[in-house]
Amino acid sequence: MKRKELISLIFVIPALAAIFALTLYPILRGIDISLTDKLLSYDKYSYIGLENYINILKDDMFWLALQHTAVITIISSIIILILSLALALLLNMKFPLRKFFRGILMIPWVVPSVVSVLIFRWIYNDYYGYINYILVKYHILDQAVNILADEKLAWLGVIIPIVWKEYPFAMLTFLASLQSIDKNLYEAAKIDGASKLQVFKEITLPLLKPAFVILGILEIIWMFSSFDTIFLLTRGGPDNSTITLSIYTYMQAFESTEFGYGSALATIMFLILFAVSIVYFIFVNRESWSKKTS
Amino acid sequence: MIFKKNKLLNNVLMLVLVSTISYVLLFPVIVGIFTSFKPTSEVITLTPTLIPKHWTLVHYKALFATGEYPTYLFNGLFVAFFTTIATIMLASLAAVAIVWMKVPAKKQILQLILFTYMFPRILIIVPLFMMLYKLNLIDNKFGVVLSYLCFTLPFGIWMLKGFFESIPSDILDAARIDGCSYFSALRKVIIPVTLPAMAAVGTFSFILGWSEYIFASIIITSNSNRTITLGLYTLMGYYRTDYGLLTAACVIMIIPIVIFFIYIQKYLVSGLTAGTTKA
Repeated sequence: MKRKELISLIFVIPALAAIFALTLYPILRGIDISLTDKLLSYDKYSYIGLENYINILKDDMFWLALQHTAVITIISSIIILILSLALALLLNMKFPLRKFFRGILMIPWVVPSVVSVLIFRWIYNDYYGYINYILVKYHILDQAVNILADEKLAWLGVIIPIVWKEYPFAMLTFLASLQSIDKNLYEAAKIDGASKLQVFKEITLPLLKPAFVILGILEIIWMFSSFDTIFLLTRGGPDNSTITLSIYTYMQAFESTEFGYGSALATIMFLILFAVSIVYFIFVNRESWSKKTS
Repeated sequence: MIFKKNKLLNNVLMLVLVSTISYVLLFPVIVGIFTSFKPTSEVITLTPTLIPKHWTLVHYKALFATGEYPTYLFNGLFVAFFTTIATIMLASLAAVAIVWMKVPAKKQILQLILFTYMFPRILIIVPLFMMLYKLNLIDNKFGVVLSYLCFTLPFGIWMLKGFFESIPSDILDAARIDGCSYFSALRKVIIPVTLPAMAAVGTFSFILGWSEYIFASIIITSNSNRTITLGLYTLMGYYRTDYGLLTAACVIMIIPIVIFFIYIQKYLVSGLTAGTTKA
């Protein structure tokens, strides 16, 4: 191997080794463990083939968690995309202190989940919280409602902090996309006498399509595996009404100490996300391929 | 612009609109900060107000009076600090090689890195736990640092790559013409120019190391090793409705993040967008 290539490898290997050891290897090892009956505490374990997976398919809680995960994923992703697009469009306009507002609107992204969970819990509080206070004061509700203890409302109480934390990234991506649209297109449209709505529909939206798709896929992947907020807020919810796949996996692995079963759950999650990320890669590569040939 | 004719009216309207939206969206943060300065009588009240009538530091003093809080702070700083150092070192080396050297299978390596970045942490906690257990790193702050590298490294490499690629190659060529060896060109030219990007990656790693929860909760088992995130959750269980104290703990936790964030926010934006639009 040439000397230059050798040096470059020495540079790259430490980081790659860390990434490989900490991500790829655990995923493979996880699949391996999912075929065993390993418990957290005992070192001895034996291979039991696909038994864990068969049990999962028979497990009602698994299907419940899957259903919740799908609902939370889809609803959060939609709300995030709409909210962040609206904000990006707003921030794309000219007005003073634009960059300042862009900056502060990004704050939720860097607030730790523990902190946001704590504050939202406080805002939701049925005796002292702001939300109930305002709802009751303006007669929207007759009585304060304990959002996180209500089976039917807990999922809403969970989605709000999740969307709150995630919208900045999408907002930034849309903003970057908006700002890369050629200004000449807008000029040409103005000369042709297009109305603002037409401009939006015929120029802006189509050019945003790639960003939309990429963000959509990324958000689906991230919302699907969302753990911190839901776990810290409701731990699976009043009577399992907010349990998701990631929480169920955690509970099986670390509370029931069923490492084998937990790994099988994790592997199923991995396969679902893997399929979605393949769609992402196909789309991204198709985009860049069509750009090269056009 | 909404009104083309009257620029002042347009600006005022936009400012009012954006301020209102920001107020609503940032309400949780605003609430948290104000609550931490209210005496408990104003916190636990059936008629909550936003701005405290009497400002007080009593909760902050109480926090430091508890034996554990300073320990949690120290542990959090410890973990965040080492995560930052390790990430900057490893990611810069890798990014430098990827952008300026001949690396075999470069495209595959990049796709691999992007792939691991998209991966949810929950999937690897079981095997990671077992690995750290065998290495005797459970309940060890360095074990936590190691586990954080799996997400700071991909992001860091990606961001640095985007930034390095935007540096015109003329600078490097000029240095080479002036007679610098490869390594001294690195030292004298590249590092000063890339300092902002390194700062951005460092900040991101710091924020992550400081505020992460799951991995820390699984790896750390003893109270003396708890990081501030775990500490906050413990306090939530212990001081149930003492939200004055709890929000004070939150504010202290957010301070380093906001300080760093305001500084690097500009670079995060360009780094993030360079990464995603070029992907």
